[in-house]
Amino acid sequence: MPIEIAKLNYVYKRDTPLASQALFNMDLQIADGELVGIIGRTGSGKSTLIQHLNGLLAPTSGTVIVDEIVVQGTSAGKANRDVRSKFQILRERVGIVFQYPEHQLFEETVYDDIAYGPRNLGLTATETKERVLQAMDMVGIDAEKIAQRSPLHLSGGQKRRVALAGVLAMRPRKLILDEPTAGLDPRGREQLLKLLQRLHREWNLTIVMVSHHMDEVARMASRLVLLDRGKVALQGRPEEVFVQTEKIAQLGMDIPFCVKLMHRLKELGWPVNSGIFENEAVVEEILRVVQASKDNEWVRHSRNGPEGRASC
Amino acid sequence: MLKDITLGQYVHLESPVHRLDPRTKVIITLLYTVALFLLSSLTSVSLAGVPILAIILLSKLPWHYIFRGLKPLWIFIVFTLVMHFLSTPGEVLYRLGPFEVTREGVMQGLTVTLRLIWLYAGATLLTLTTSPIALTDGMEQLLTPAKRIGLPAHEFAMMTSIALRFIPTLIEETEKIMKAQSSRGADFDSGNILRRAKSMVPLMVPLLLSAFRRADELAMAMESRCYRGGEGRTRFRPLMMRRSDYTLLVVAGLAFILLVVWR
Repeated sequence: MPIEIAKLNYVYKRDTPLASQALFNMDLQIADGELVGIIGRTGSGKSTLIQHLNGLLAPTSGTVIVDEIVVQGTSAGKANRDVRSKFQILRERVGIVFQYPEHQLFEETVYDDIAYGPRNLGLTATETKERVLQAMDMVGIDAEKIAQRSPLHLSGGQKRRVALAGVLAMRPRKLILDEPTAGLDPRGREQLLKLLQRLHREWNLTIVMVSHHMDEVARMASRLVLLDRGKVALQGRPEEVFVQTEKIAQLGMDIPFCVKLMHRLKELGWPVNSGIFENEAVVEEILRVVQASKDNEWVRHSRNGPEGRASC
Repeated sequence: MLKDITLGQYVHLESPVHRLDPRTKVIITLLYTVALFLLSSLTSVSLAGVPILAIILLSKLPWHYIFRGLKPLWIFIVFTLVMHFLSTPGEVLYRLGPFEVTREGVMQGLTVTLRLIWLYAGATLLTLTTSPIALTDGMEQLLTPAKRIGLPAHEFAMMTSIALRFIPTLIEETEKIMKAQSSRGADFDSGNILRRAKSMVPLMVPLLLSAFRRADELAMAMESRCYRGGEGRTRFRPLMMRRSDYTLLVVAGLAFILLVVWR
């Protein structure tokens, strides 16, 4: 079932001199099985928004509906028992992986850390074990080698996988990730993105990815949502969004290199398809176009066109 | 909850109270604290609230912001009040089984409670109107004479300012970890004491780890900027006593002396 956000407002430190509004009348829908990329500068409200999705923050006004569970008004901390169990259900359905999730690891062994969530749900030891093993398998951790080691002695990339497994062990239907690749080296980043894509495909998880890296979100997401100062500034399929170069620049964000390259080539008269975001696909497209133009030599002569020097 | 802690939280506003030299404010707060304990009658302790209220008015801080911090103290206040009501011998006002509420008890209880509230308000006002850096600079200056007897004034001030500086950071960190663990189904506020204490482990371990990490990073950053203790350090913003500071100090000092003499 989808996530529906309507007229969402959120004010931090309400009723104090330090009050500041983070979200303004936001409307947003996220359908099942989508892979949505949320992009925005620091302070644009990305993190505030995602914390509403599992009831960590409750709207100052407006509603958030997740799987027909309505979140509004009362804050999670002061909620009574009914509301609290509602939040428990919500947290089972929606898993949030925070920035630098490896900082929340605390158990003595990787196994116990991943089992923390299932145990909180009150599952039996056998069920817990099944979930932990499955979660480890999902994120590609070798259970035999690592399960009994201390999570604090793993490498950065592995720690992050363990943390991710800790959330997946809750078996959420929706996975929200805040800057999942922050602080990873290029290889670790690539592996993590591949992993997320696989989770999306094989487990049909709805994934919401928050980032300020256009490049990585662009080729993953089926839809992009650009936030600016607590409002949705722009949204749509990546190729639709990236056409609006000026607006994106205005919002202080960068267009992925590939897109820039393709746009520039198009400007210079090359008939390339600018709706491509994957590096390899871009190379192939350029090769294809170059090949095609060689075949029709007249194309180059008729326009006093480019010699393939795109400068960007 | 965590948000309610106002002690040690500076609110930046433009007001005559904010503009005062931190040393003035520290000295006046100290004098005020001592004075509070010198006063003994309910009337005089009530009157001691006048300067506090005046300062709140001058500081432009919202009222509720100062007194909201009292919330965690409620139990303590009520306890004090009841203890005094019941345990002071004197003229009996009301009898309930073996307990007697006495007139003296009521007076005493109110006095002590009021004193507690003013004390709290005074300390809170100091930190709300003085930035932590200004405050520790002021402390350091005031403690400088004690350097001669071997008191490490600078190191003390630096430690205090770092500790203060990290209160909000640690609160933020705590909230972050709480949120992360809540997302994994943690429940921090139900169950008996034992269960609650146990539920703190997933919070405390990451918090301690990150505190150590931060301390390490901070030490490294300070050393790479050649920090070598207080010897020969100059200030970017030297503290300045204005005429208003001197006037206020003289007035406060006189009031204090009068009080001691008259008592």
